[in-house]
Amino acid sequence: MNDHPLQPPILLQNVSRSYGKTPVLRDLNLSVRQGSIYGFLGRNGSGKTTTMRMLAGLITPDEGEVRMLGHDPFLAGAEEKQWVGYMSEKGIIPPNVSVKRVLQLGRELYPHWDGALTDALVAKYNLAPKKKISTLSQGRQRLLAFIMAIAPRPKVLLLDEPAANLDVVARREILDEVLDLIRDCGSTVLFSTHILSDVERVADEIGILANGTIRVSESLDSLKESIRQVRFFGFQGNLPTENLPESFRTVRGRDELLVTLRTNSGITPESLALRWSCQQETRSLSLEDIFVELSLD
Amino acid sequence: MSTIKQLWALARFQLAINQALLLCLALGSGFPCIIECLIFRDTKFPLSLDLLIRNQLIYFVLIFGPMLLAPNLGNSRKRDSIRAAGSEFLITRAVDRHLLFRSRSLLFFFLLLVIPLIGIASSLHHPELKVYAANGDLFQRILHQFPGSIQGPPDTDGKLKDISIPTGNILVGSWRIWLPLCIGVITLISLTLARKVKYIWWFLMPLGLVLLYYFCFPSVFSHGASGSRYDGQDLNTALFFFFATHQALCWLIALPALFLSLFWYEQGTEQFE
Repeated sequence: MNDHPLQPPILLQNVSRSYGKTPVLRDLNLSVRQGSIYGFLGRNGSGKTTTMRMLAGLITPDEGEVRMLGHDPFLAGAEEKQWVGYMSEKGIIPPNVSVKRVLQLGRELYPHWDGALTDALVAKYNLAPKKKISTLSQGRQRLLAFIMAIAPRPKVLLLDEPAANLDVVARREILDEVLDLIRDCGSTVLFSTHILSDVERVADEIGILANGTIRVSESLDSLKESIRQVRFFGFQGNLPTENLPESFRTVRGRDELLVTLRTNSGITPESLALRWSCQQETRSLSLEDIFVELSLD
Repeated sequence: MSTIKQLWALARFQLAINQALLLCLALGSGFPCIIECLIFRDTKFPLSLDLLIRNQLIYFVLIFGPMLLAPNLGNSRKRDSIRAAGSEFLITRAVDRHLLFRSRSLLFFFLLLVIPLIGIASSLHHPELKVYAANGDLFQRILHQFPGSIQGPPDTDGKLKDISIPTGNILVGSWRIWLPLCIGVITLISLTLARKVKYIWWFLMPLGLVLLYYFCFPSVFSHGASGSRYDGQDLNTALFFFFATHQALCWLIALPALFLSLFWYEQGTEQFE
Protein backbone atom coordinates (compact mmCIF):
# COMPACT_ATOMS: atom_id res chain seq x y z
CA MET A 1 0.00 0.00 0.00
CA ASN A 2 1.00 3.63 -0.25
CA ASP A 3 3.24 4.33 2.72
CA HIS A 4 3.06 8.02 1.89
CA PRO A 5 -0.66 8.75 1.55
CA LEU A 6 -0.09 12.40 0.71
CA GLN A 7 2.08 11.46 -2.22
CA PRO A 8 0.37 10.63 -5.52
CA PRO A 9 0.46 6.91 -6.28
CA ILE A 10 2.56 7.50 -9.40
CA LEU A 11 5.28 10.09 -9.24
CA LEU A 12 8.31 10.78 -11.40
CA GLN A 13 10.49 13.73 -10.56
CA ASN A 14 13.20 15.08 -12.86
CA VAL A 15 13.73 11.67 -14.38
CA SER A 16 16.29 11.23 -17.13
CA ARG A 17 17.25 8.03 -18.83
CA SER A 18 19.46 7.15 -21.76
CA TYR A 19 20.16 3.96 -23.66
CA GLY A 20 23.83 4.15 -24.42
CA LYS A 21 24.38 7.63 -25.78
CA THR A 22 20.77 8.06 -26.84
CA PRO A 23 18.71 10.07 -24.36
CA VAL A 24 15.14 8.82 -24.08
CA LEU A 25 13.74 10.70 -21.11
CA ARG A 26 14.84 14.22 -20.26
CA ASP A 27 13.99 15.71 -16.90
CA LEU A 28 10.57 14.10 -16.96
CA ASN A 29 8.03 15.07 -14.32
CA LEU A 30 4.80 13.13 -14.03
CA SER A 31 2.28 12.87 -11.27
CA VAL A 32 -0.90 10.82 -11.43
CA ARG A 33 -3.47 11.40 -8.75
CA GLN A 34 -5.29 8.68 -6.85
CA GLY A 35 -8.26 7.17 -8.68
CA SER A 36 -7.65 8.72 -12.06
CA ILE A 37 -7.28 7.12 -15.47
CA TYR A 38 -4.29 8.74 -17.06
CA GLY A 39 -3.91 8.47 -20.81
CA PHE A 40 -0.25 8.55 -21.68
CA LEU A 41 0.30 9.65 -25.25
CA GLY A 42 3.35 10.05 -27.39
CA ARG A 43 4.80 9.14 -30.74
CA ASN A 44 6.79 5.97 -31.27
CA GLY A 45 10.11 6.30 -29.49
CA SER A 46 8.96 9.19 -27.34
CA GLY A 47 9.76 7.32 -24.11
CA LYS A 48 6.36 5.94 -23.06
CA THR A 49 7.49 2.35 -22.74
CA THR A 50 10.70 3.39 -20.96
CA THR A 51 8.57 5.27 -18.44
CA MET A 52 6.26 2.29 -18.02
CA ARG A 53 9.18 -0.11 -17.57
CA MET A 54 10.64 2.20 -14.97
CA LEU A 55 7.36 2.26 -13.07
CA ALA A 56 7.14 -1.53 -13.33
CA GLY A 57 10.55 -1.83 -11.67
CA LEU A 58 12.34 -3.21 -14.71
CA ILE A 59 14.78 -0.37 -15.20
CA THR A 60 16.12 2.51 -13.15
CA PRO A 61 16.46 6.19 -14.02
CA ASP A 62 19.90 7.64 -14.65
CA GLU A 63 18.80 10.69 -12.71
CA GLY A 64 15.73 11.67 -10.75
CA GLU A 65 13.28 9.83 -8.59
CA VAL A 66 10.54 7.32 -9.36
CA ARG A 67 7.88 6.52 -6.80
CA MET A 68 5.10 3.99 -7.05
CA LEU A 69 2.73 3.95 -4.07
CA GLY A 70 5.51 5.70 -2.18
CA HIS A 71 8.20 3.12 -3.02
CA ASP A 72 11.05 2.89 -5.46
CA PRO A 73 9.60 0.31 -7.88
CA PHE A 74 13.01 -1.17 -8.72
CA LEU A 75 13.65 -1.96 -5.07
CA ALA A 76 10.05 -2.88 -4.21
CA GLY A 77 9.45 -6.32 -2.78
CA ALA A 78 6.55 -8.73 -3.04
CA GLU A 79 4.54 -6.83 -0.42
CA GLU A 80 4.62 -3.61 -2.43
CA LYS A 81 4.31 -5.21 -5.85
CA GLN A 82 1.14 -7.10 -4.98
CA TRP A 83 -0.69 -3.77 -5.36
CA VAL A 84 0.63 -3.09 -8.83
CA GLY A 85 -0.70 -4.65 -12.02
CA TYR A 86 1.46 -4.42 -15.12
CA MET A 87 0.72 -5.28 -18.70
CA SER A 88 3.70 -4.93 -20.97
CA GLU A 89 3.68 -3.49 -24.47
CA LYS A 90 5.06 -6.76 -25.83
CA GLY A 91 4.19 -10.34 -24.99
CA ILE A 92 6.32 -11.30 -22.03
CA ILE A 93 4.47 -14.38 -20.84
CA PRO A 94 6.74 -17.38 -21.42
CA PRO A 95 5.58 -19.26 -24.51
CA ASN A 96 6.05 -22.79 -23.18
CA VAL A 97 3.52 -22.73 -20.38
CA SER A 98 -0.22 -23.23 -20.42
CA VAL A 99 -2.85 -20.60 -19.68
CA LYS A 100 -3.81 -22.56 -16.56
CA ARG A 101 -0.21 -22.58 -15.27
CA VAL A 102 0.13 -18.82 -15.73
CA LEU A 103 -3.10 -18.16 -13.87
CA GLN A 104 -2.07 -20.58 -11.14
CA LEU A 105 1.08 -18.53 -10.59
CA GLY A 106 -1.09 -15.47 -10.15
CA ARG A 107 -3.22 -17.27 -7.57
CA GLU A 108 -0.10 -18.37 -5.69
CA LEU A 109 1.60 -14.98 -5.62
CA TYR A 110 -1.23 -12.55 -4.98
CA PRO A 111 -3.19 -12.70 -1.73
CA HIS A 112 -5.98 -10.56 -3.21
CA TRP A 113 -6.25 -12.52 -6.44
CA ASP A 114 -9.82 -12.36 -7.69
CA GLY A 115 -10.57 -15.94 -8.76
CA ALA A 116 -14.16 -15.22 -9.76
CA LEU A 117 -13.09 -12.34 -12.01
CA THR A 118 -10.38 -14.53 -13.52
CA ASP A 119 -12.78 -17.35 -14.31
CA ALA A 120 -15.29 -14.91 -15.77
CA LEU A 121 -12.71 -13.22 -18.00
CA VAL A 122 -11.15 -16.51 -19.11
CA ALA A 123 -14.60 -17.66 -20.21
CA LYS A 124 -15.45 -14.30 -21.76
CA TYR A 125 -12.23 -14.14 -23.78
CA ASN A 126 -12.52 -17.80 -24.68
CA LEU A 127 -9.08 -18.74 -23.38
CA ALA A 128 -8.63 -22.52 -23.30
CA PRO A 129 -6.85 -23.29 -20.00
CA LYS A 130 -4.82 -26.17 -21.41
CA LYS A 131 -3.51 -24.27 -24.41
CA LYS A 132 0.11 -23.21 -24.44
CA ILE A 133 0.82 -19.51 -24.71
CA SER A 134 2.74 -20.05 -27.93
CA THR A 135 -0.38 -21.45 -29.57
CA LEU A 136 -2.54 -18.45 -28.69
CA SER A 137 -2.99 -15.57 -31.10
CA GLN A 138 -1.28 -12.28 -30.24
CA GLY A 139 -4.65 -10.85 -29.27
CA ARG A 140 -5.44 -13.71 -26.88
CA GLN A 141 -1.99 -13.39 -25.34
CA ARG A 142 -2.72 -9.71 -24.70
CA LEU A 143 -6.02 -10.61 -23.08
CA LEU A 144 -4.30 -13.11 -20.79
CA ALA A 145 -1.71 -10.50 -19.91
CA PHE A 146 -4.57 -8.14 -19.10
CA ILE A 147 -6.16 -10.71 -16.78
CA MET A 148 -2.81 -11.17 -15.04
CA ALA A 149 -2.63 -7.41 -14.53
CA ILE A 150 -6.18 -6.84 -13.33
CA ALA A 151 -7.03 -9.97 -11.32
CA PRO A 152 -4.79 -9.06 -8.34
CA ARG A 153 -7.14 -6.07 -7.82
CA PRO A 154 -4.21 -3.66 -7.95
CA LYS A 155 -4.13 -0.17 -6.53
CA VAL A 156 -2.12 0.93 -9.53
CA LEU A 157 -2.62 -0.52 -12.98
CA LEU A 158 0.03 0.08 -15.65
CA LEU A 159 -1.13 -0.74 -19.15
CA ASP A 160 1.41 -0.28 -21.90
CA GLU A 161 -0.39 -0.26 -25.24
CA PRO A 162 -3.16 -2.52 -23.94
CA ALA A 163 -5.10 -2.31 -27.19
CA ALA A 164 -2.31 -3.48 -29.47
CA ASN A 165 -3.39 -6.50 -31.56
CA LEU A 166 -6.94 -6.39 -30.22
CA ASP A 167 -10.15 -6.03 -32.16
CA VAL A 168 -12.57 -3.24 -31.37
CA VAL A 169 -14.83 -5.42 -29.24
CA ALA A 170 -11.98 -6.74 -27.10
CA ARG A 171 -10.60 -3.22 -26.73
CA ARG A 172 -13.92 -1.96 -25.48
CA GLU A 173 -14.25 -4.88 -23.09
CA ILE A 174 -10.82 -4.14 -21.67
CA LEU A 175 -11.70 -0.50 -21.17
CA ASP A 176 -14.94 -1.50 -19.46
CA GLU A 177 -13.00 -3.75 -17.08
CA VAL A 178 -10.66 -0.87 -16.32
CA LEU A 179 -13.61 1.35 -15.52
CA ASP A 180 -15.06 -1.38 -13.28
CA LEU A 181 -11.77 -1.63 -11.45
CA ILE A 182 -11.76 2.10 -10.81
CA ARG A 183 -15.35 1.92 -9.57
CA ASP A 184 -14.78 -1.10 -7.33
CA CYS A 185 -11.30 -0.47 -5.97
CA GLY A 186 -10.56 3.20 -6.59
CA SER A 187 -7.47 2.16 -8.49
CA THR A 188 -5.20 4.49 -10.37
CA VAL A 189 -4.61 3.62 -14.02
CA LEU A 190 -1.81 4.76 -16.27
CA PHE A 191 -2.20 3.58 -19.80
CA SER A 192 -0.26 4.38 -22.91
CA THR A 193 -1.84 4.10 -26.30
CA HIS A 194 -1.91 5.39 -29.84
CA ILE A 195 -5.66 4.98 -30.08
CA LEU A 196 -6.97 8.41 -29.20
CA SER A 197 -10.61 7.36 -29.20
CA ASP A 198 -9.81 5.04 -26.26
CA VAL A 199 -8.28 7.93 -24.39
CA GLU A 200 -11.25 10.16 -25.07
CA ARG A 201 -13.55 7.40 -23.90
CA VAL A 202 -12.05 6.63 -20.52
CA ALA A 203 -9.20 8.95 -19.54
CA ASP A 204 -9.86 11.79 -17.18
CA GLU A 205 -6.31 13.09 -17.42
CA ILE A 206 -3.93 13.17 -20.33
CA GLY A 207 -0.20 13.52 -20.66
CA ILE A 208 1.56 14.01 -23.96
CA LEU A 209 5.17 12.97 -24.08
CA ALA A 210 7.44 14.35 -26.75
CA ASN A 211 11.20 14.11 -26.94
CA GLY A 212 11.40 12.61 -23.49
CA THR A 213 9.51 15.34 -21.66
CA ILE A 214 5.88 15.91 -20.79
CA ARG A 215 4.51 18.67 -22.99
CA VAL A 216 1.12 18.82 -21.26
CA SER A 217 -0.50 16.98 -18.39
CA GLU A 218 -4.07 17.89 -17.56
CA SER A 219 -7.68 16.87 -17.96
CA LEU A 220 -9.04 16.24 -21.43
CA ASP A 221 -11.63 19.01 -21.12
CA SER A 222 -9.09 21.52 -19.93
CA LEU A 223 -6.75 20.53 -22.73
CA LYS A 224 -9.38 20.97 -25.41
CA GLU A 225 -10.50 24.20 -23.82
CA SER A 226 -7.13 25.83 -23.49
CA ILE A 227 -5.13 24.79 -26.53
CA ARG A 228 -6.06 26.59 -29.72
CA GLN A 229 -4.63 27.05 -33.12
CA VAL A 230 -4.54 30.70 -34.20
CA ARG A 231 -3.93 31.99 -37.67
CA PHE A 232 -2.44 35.48 -37.71
CA PHE A 233 -2.70 37.23 -41.04
CA GLY A 234 -2.91 40.69 -42.65
CA PHE A 235 0.43 41.87 -41.27
CA GLN A 236 1.43 45.45 -42.10
CA GLY A 237 5.13 44.69 -42.43
CA ASN A 238 7.34 41.66 -41.89
CA LEU A 239 6.19 38.64 -39.88
CA PRO A 240 7.11 38.93 -36.21
CA THR A 241 10.09 36.82 -35.16
CA GLU A 242 9.63 36.75 -31.40
CA ASN A 243 9.36 33.39 -29.62
CA LEU A 244 6.22 32.98 -27.58
CA PRO A 245 6.76 30.90 -24.45
CA GLU A 246 3.07 29.97 -24.46
CA SER A 247 3.17 28.55 -27.96
CA PHE A 248 3.77 24.88 -28.72
CA ARG A 249 4.38 25.19 -32.42
CA THR A 250 4.63 27.99 -34.94
CA VAL A 251 4.39 27.52 -38.68
CA ARG A 252 5.54 30.49 -40.71
CA GLY A 253 3.86 31.04 -44.07
CA ARG A 254 4.57 33.71 -46.64
CA ASP A 255 2.29 36.28 -45.04
CA GLU A 256 0.75 34.47 -42.13
CA LEU A 257 1.63 32.69 -38.92
CA LEU A 258 -0.05 29.54 -37.65
CA VAL A 259 0.49 29.31 -33.91
CA THR A 260 -0.66 26.57 -31.56
CA LEU A 261 -0.81 28.11 -28.14
CA ARG A 262 -2.26 27.84 -24.71
CA THR A 263 -4.87 30.53 -24.47
CA ASN A 264 -5.47 30.46 -20.74
CA SER A 265 -1.91 31.41 -19.86
CA GLY A 266 -2.35 35.18 -19.78
CA ILE A 267 -1.73 35.83 -23.42
CA THR A 268 -4.71 35.78 -25.74
CA PRO A 269 -5.00 35.67 -29.55
CA GLU A 270 -6.64 39.06 -29.44
CA SER A 271 -3.80 40.69 -27.49
CA LEU A 272 -1.25 39.18 -29.85
CA ALA A 273 -3.12 40.41 -32.91
CA LEU A 274 -3.17 43.87 -31.37
CA ARG A 275 0.56 43.70 -30.61
CA TRP A 276 1.45 42.57 -34.11
CA SER A 277 -1.07 44.82 -35.85
CA CYS A 278 -2.72 41.98 -37.69
CA GLN A 279 -5.90 39.97 -37.75
CA GLN A 280 -6.44 36.60 -36.14
CA GLU A 281 -8.64 33.61 -36.56
CA THR A 282 -8.91 31.04 -33.77
CA ARG A 283 -10.00 27.44 -34.13
CA SER A 284 -10.43 24.75 -31.54
CA LEU A 285 -8.59 21.47 -31.93
CA SER A 286 -9.58 17.84 -31.57
CA LEU A 287 -7.48 15.61 -29.36
CA GLU A 288 -5.81 14.21 -32.45
CA ASP A 289 -4.95 17.73 -33.64
CA ILE A 290 -3.60 18.62 -30.22
CA PHE A 291 -1.54 15.44 -30.13
CA VAL A 292 -0.07 16.11 -33.56
CA GLU A 293 0.69 19.74 -32.78
CA LEU A 294 2.34 18.94 -29.47
CA SER A 295 4.26 15.96 -30.73
CA LEU A 296 5.87 17.74 -33.65
CA ASP A 297 9.02 19.71 -33.05
CA MET B 1 3.95 -13.85 1.10
CA SER B 2 6.67 -15.88 2.76
CA THR B 3 10.06 -16.45 1.20
CA ILE B 4 9.57 -20.21 1.04
CA LYS B 5 6.20 -19.90 -0.71
CA GLN B 6 7.64 -17.46 -3.25
CA LEU B 7 10.65 -19.68 -3.89
CA TRP B 8 8.43 -22.71 -4.30
CA ALA B 9 6.08 -20.93 -6.71
CA LEU B 10 8.97 -19.46 -8.72
CA ALA B 11 10.91 -22.71 -8.95
CA ARG B 12 7.87 -24.66 -10.08
CA PHE B 13 6.96 -22.07 -12.67
CA GLN B 14 10.50 -21.99 -14.05
CA LEU B 15 10.54 -25.74 -14.17
CA ALA B 16 7.36 -25.52 -16.24
CA ILE B 17 8.74 -22.95 -18.68
CA ASN B 18 12.11 -24.63 -19.18
CA GLN B 19 11.21 -28.30 -19.08
CA ALA B 20 13.32 -29.46 -22.02
CA LEU B 21 16.32 -27.37 -21.12
CA LEU B 22 16.31 -28.41 -17.49
CA LEU B 23 15.78 -32.05 -18.32
CA CYS B 24 18.88 -31.90 -20.52
CA LEU B 25 20.80 -30.27 -17.68
CA ALA B 26 19.76 -32.92 -15.18
CA LEU B 27 20.21 -35.89 -17.47
CA GLY B 28 23.45 -34.61 -18.96
CA SER B 29 25.12 -34.07 -15.65
CA GLY B 30 23.75 -37.27 -14.14
CA PHE B 31 24.10 -39.53 -17.14
CA PRO B 32 27.09 -41.60 -15.91
CA CYS B 33 25.25 -42.27 -12.64
CA ILE B 34 22.24 -43.57 -14.52
CA ILE B 35 24.34 -45.77 -16.77
CA GLU B 36 26.34 -47.15 -13.89
CA CYS B 37 23.33 -47.76 -11.64
CA LEU B 38 21.21 -49.32 -14.35
CA ILE B 39 23.74 -51.27 -16.36
CA PHE B 40 27.17 -51.74 -14.89
CA ARG B 41 26.57 -52.22 -11.18
CA ASP B 42 26.96 -55.91 -10.24
CA THR B 43 28.26 -56.69 -13.69
CA LYS B 44 30.79 -59.43 -14.12
CA PHE B 45 32.83 -57.13 -16.28
CA PRO B 46 34.11 -54.28 -14.12
CA LEU B 47 34.30 -50.83 -15.58
CA SER B 48 37.59 -49.09 -16.10
CA LEU B 49 38.17 -46.71 -13.22
CA ASP B 50 39.08 -44.09 -15.75
CA LEU B 51 35.66 -44.27 -17.40
CA LEU B 52 33.87 -44.54 -14.10
CA ILE B 53 35.19 -41.30 -12.64
CA ARG B 54 34.85 -39.31 -15.80
CA ASN B 55 31.75 -37.33 -16.63
CA GLN B 56 31.80 -36.62 -20.32
CA LEU B 57 28.54 -34.72 -20.28
CA ILE B 58 29.44 -32.38 -17.44
CA TYR B 59 30.01 -29.56 -19.88
CA PHE B 60 26.26 -29.53 -20.45
CA VAL B 61 26.39 -27.38 -17.34
CA LEU B 62 28.22 -24.69 -19.27
CA ILE B 63 25.57 -24.70 -21.97
CA PHE B 64 22.35 -25.08 -20.03
CA GLY B 65 23.47 -23.37 -16.83
CA PRO B 66 23.77 -19.91 -18.41
CA MET B 67 20.47 -20.38 -20.22
CA LEU B 68 18.76 -20.85 -16.89
CA LEU B 69 20.83 -18.52 -14.73
CA ALA B 70 21.47 -15.61 -17.07
CA PRO B 71 19.20 -15.82 -20.11
CA ASN B 72 19.90 -12.26 -21.19
CA LEU B 73 23.67 -12.61 -21.47
CA GLY B 74 23.54 -13.30 -25.20
CA ASN B 75 22.67 -9.89 -26.62
CA SER B 76 21.74 -11.02 -30.09
CA ARG B 77 18.53 -12.72 -29.02
CA LYS B 78 17.97 -10.70 -25.91
CA ARG B 79 14.24 -10.11 -26.16
CA ASP B 80 13.41 -13.69 -27.15
CA SER B 81 15.61 -15.30 -24.56
CA ILE B 82 14.30 -13.08 -21.79
CA ARG B 83 10.76 -13.89 -22.77
CA ALA B 84 11.51 -17.60 -22.97
CA ALA B 85 13.04 -17.54 -19.50
CA GLY B 86 10.18 -15.44 -18.15
CA SER B 87 12.50 -12.88 -16.52
CA GLU B 88 10.47 -9.79 -17.30
CA PHE B 89 7.19 -11.51 -16.61
CA LEU B 90 8.32 -12.81 -13.22
CA ILE B 91 10.08 -9.63 -12.07
CA THR B 92 6.89 -7.66 -12.66
CA ARG B 93 4.82 -10.06 -10.52
CA ALA B 94 4.51 -9.84 -6.74
CA VAL B 95 7.87 -11.37 -5.96
CA ASP B 96 11.01 -10.20 -4.23
CA ARG B 97 13.44 -9.55 -7.03
CA HIS B 98 16.35 -11.39 -5.38
CA LEU B 99 14.18 -14.48 -4.85
CA LEU B 100 13.80 -14.92 -8.60
CA PHE B 101 17.57 -15.28 -8.88
CA ARG B 102 17.78 -17.41 -5.76
CA SER B 103 15.14 -19.74 -7.13
CA ARG B 104 17.14 -20.07 -10.36
CA SER B 105 20.39 -20.92 -8.62
CA LEU B 106 18.70 -23.39 -6.27
CA LEU B 107 16.93 -25.01 -9.19
CA PHE B 108 20.22 -25.17 -11.05
CA PHE B 109 21.99 -26.99 -8.24
CA PHE B 110 19.01 -29.20 -7.55
CA LEU B 111 18.94 -30.39 -11.15
CA LEU B 112 22.69 -30.73 -11.23
CA LEU B 113 22.79 -32.88 -8.14
CA VAL B 114 19.51 -34.76 -8.04
CA ILE B 115 20.67 -37.77 -10.03
CA PRO B 116 24.10 -37.97 -8.34
CA LEU B 117 22.31 -37.82 -4.97
CA ILE B 118 20.04 -40.67 -5.99
CA GLY B 119 23.16 -42.46 -7.20
CA ILE B 120 24.95 -42.18 -3.87
CA ALA B 121 21.81 -43.23 -2.00
CA SER B 122 21.70 -46.28 -4.23
CA SER B 123 25.40 -46.97 -3.67
CA LEU B 124 24.76 -47.36 0.06
CA HIS B 125 23.06 -50.64 -0.81
CA HIS B 126 25.96 -51.70 -3.04
CA PRO B 127 29.04 -50.08 -1.54
CA GLU B 128 31.51 -52.50 -3.05
CA LEU B 129 33.06 -51.47 -6.34
CA LYS B 130 34.88 -53.70 -8.77
CA VAL B 131 37.07 -51.79 -11.18
CA TYR B 132 39.41 -52.48 -13.98
CA ALA B 133 42.82 -50.86 -14.23
CA ALA B 134 44.78 -51.88 -17.28
CA ASN B 135 47.74 -49.72 -16.44
CA GLY B 136 50.06 -51.32 -13.91
CA ASP B 137 50.94 -48.05 -12.15
CA LEU B 138 47.29 -47.20 -11.77
CA PHE B 139 46.57 -50.70 -10.48
CA GLN B 140 49.20 -50.28 -7.77
CA ARG B 141 48.01 -46.79 -6.99
CA ILE B 142 44.44 -47.97 -6.39
CA LEU B 143 45.59 -50.79 -4.18
CA HIS B 144 47.82 -48.43 -2.25
CA GLN B 145 45.49 -45.47 -1.81
CA PHE B 146 42.12 -47.10 -1.21
CA PRO B 147 42.05 -48.89 2.11
CA GLY B 148 40.66 -52.42 1.99
CA SER B 149 41.20 -52.81 -1.76
CA ILE B 150 41.57 -56.38 -2.84
CA GLN B 151 43.01 -57.54 -6.10
CA GLY B 152 40.83 -59.86 -8.13
CA PRO B 153 41.83 -63.08 -9.84
CA PRO B 154 44.20 -62.79 -12.82
CA ASP B 155 42.67 -62.69 -16.28
CA THR B 156 43.30 -65.20 -19.04
CA ASP B 157 46.66 -63.55 -19.85
CA GLY B 158 47.67 -64.03 -16.25
CA LYS B 159 47.68 -60.27 -15.64
CA LEU B 160 46.16 -58.70 -12.56
CA LYS B 161 43.70 -56.01 -13.63
CA ASP B 162 40.56 -56.24 -11.45
CA ILE B 163 40.35 -54.67 -8.03
CA SER B 164 37.56 -54.73 -5.49
CA ILE B 165 37.17 -51.64 -3.28
CA PRO B 166 34.83 -52.20 -0.29
CA THR B 167 33.34 -48.66 -0.22
CA GLY B 168 34.28 -47.73 -3.75
CA ASN B 169 30.74 -47.01 -4.96
CA ILE B 170 30.24 -44.51 -2.16
CA LEU B 171 33.54 -42.87 -3.02
CA VAL B 172 32.67 -42.64 -6.70
CA GLY B 173 29.18 -41.41 -5.76
CA SER B 174 30.68 -38.62 -3.63
CA TRP B 175 33.01 -37.72 -6.48
CA ARG B 176 30.05 -37.47 -8.80
CA ILE B 177 28.41 -35.00 -6.47
CA TRP B 178 31.56 -33.03 -5.74
CA LEU B 179 32.63 -32.54 -9.34
CA PRO B 180 29.37 -31.06 -10.72
CA LEU B 181 29.06 -29.03 -7.53
CA CYS B 182 32.45 -27.44 -8.20
CA ILE B 183 31.67 -26.85 -11.86
CA GLY B 184 28.31 -25.38 -10.86
CA VAL B 185 30.05 -23.02 -8.44
CA ILE B 186 32.52 -21.97 -11.14
CA THR B 187 29.63 -21.41 -13.56
CA LEU B 188 27.79 -19.27 -11.04
CA ILE B 189 30.87 -17.19 -10.29
CA SER B 190 31.67 -16.80 -13.98
CA LEU B 191 28.13 -15.64 -14.75
CA THR B 192 28.18 -13.10 -11.95
CA LEU B 193 31.54 -11.89 -13.15
CA ALA B 194 30.21 -11.68 -16.68
CA ARG B 195 27.44 -9.38 -15.46
CA LYS B 196 29.96 -7.09 -13.85
CA VAL B 197 32.70 -7.09 -16.50
CA LYS B 198 31.45 -6.35 -19.97
CA TYR B 199 32.24 -8.90 -22.68
CA ILE B 200 34.20 -11.18 -20.29
CA TRP B 201 31.62 -13.91 -20.87
CA TRP B 202 32.77 -14.30 -24.45
CA PHE B 203 36.20 -15.10 -23.06
CA LEU B 204 35.06 -17.27 -20.15
CA MET B 205 32.60 -19.43 -22.08
CA PRO B 206 35.03 -20.77 -24.74
CA LEU B 207 37.75 -21.10 -22.14
CA GLY B 208 35.44 -23.19 -19.96
CA LEU B 209 34.44 -25.40 -22.87
CA VAL B 210 38.06 -25.95 -23.89
CA LEU B 211 39.07 -26.77 -20.33
CA LEU B 212 36.20 -29.16 -19.84
CA TYR B 213 36.90 -30.79 -23.15
CA TYR B 214 40.46 -31.36 -22.07
CA PHE B 215 39.21 -32.46 -18.66
CA CYS B 216 36.66 -34.96 -19.94
CA PHE B 217 37.76 -36.44 -23.21
CA PRO B 218 41.45 -36.91 -23.99
CA SER B 219 42.12 -40.03 -22.01
CA VAL B 220 38.85 -41.57 -23.16
CA PHE B 221 40.00 -41.21 -26.74
CA SER B 222 43.53 -42.33 -25.95
CA HIS B 223 42.17 -45.24 -23.93
CA GLY B 224 41.75 -47.25 -27.12
CA ALA B 225 40.51 -50.80 -27.32
CA SER B 226 43.08 -52.30 -25.02
CA GLY B 227 43.40 -49.43 -22.63
CA SER B 228 47.08 -50.08 -22.45
CA ARG B 229 48.06 -46.54 -23.38
CA TYR B 230 46.18 -45.03 -20.47
CA ASP B 231 48.66 -44.03 -17.78
CA GLY B 232 46.33 -42.52 -15.19
CA GLN B 233 48.30 -39.26 -15.17
CA ASP B 234 45.64 -36.95 -16.62
CA LEU B 235 44.06 -34.06 -14.77
CA ASN B 236 40.78 -35.81 -14.09
CA THR B 237 42.34 -38.92 -12.56
CA ALA B 238 44.81 -36.87 -10.56
CA LEU B 239 41.93 -34.80 -9.18
CA PHE B 240 39.96 -37.93 -8.37
CA PHE B 241 42.85 -39.41 -6.40
CA PHE B 242 43.30 -36.11 -4.61
CA PHE B 243 39.59 -36.12 -3.78
CA ALA B 244 39.74 -39.75 -2.64
CA THR B 245 42.58 -39.09 -0.24
CA HIS B 246 41.46 -35.62 0.97
CA GLN B 247 37.68 -35.90 0.99
CA ALA B 248 37.14 -33.83 4.11
CA LEU B 249 39.29 -31.00 2.78
CA CYS B 250 37.53 -31.08 -0.60
CA TRP B 251 34.11 -30.78 0.99
CA LEU B 252 35.40 -28.12 3.36
CA ILE B 253 36.36 -26.04 0.33
CA ALA B 254 33.36 -26.87 -1.86
CA LEU B 255 30.51 -26.23 0.56
CA PRO B 256 31.49 -22.72 1.69
CA ALA B 257 32.30 -21.94 -1.96
CA LEU B 258 28.80 -23.09 -2.87
CA PHE B 259 27.13 -20.82 -0.33
CA LEU B 260 29.36 -17.87 -1.21
CA SER B 261 28.71 -18.29 -4.92
CA LEU B 262 24.96 -18.50 -4.32
CA PHE B 263 25.10 -15.35 -2.25
CA TRP B 264 27.34 -13.53 -4.73
CA TYR B 265 25.19 -14.51 -7.68
CA GLU B 266 22.04 -13.30 -5.95
CA GLN B 267 23.59 -10.03 -4.82
CA GLY B 268 25.42 -9.44 -8.07
CA THR B 269 22.48 -10.18 -10.31
CA GLU B 270 19.47 -8.63 -8.67
CA GLN B 271 20.60 -5.06 -9.26
CA PHE B 272 21.00 -5.62 -12.99
CA GLU B 273 18.24 -4.61 -15.35
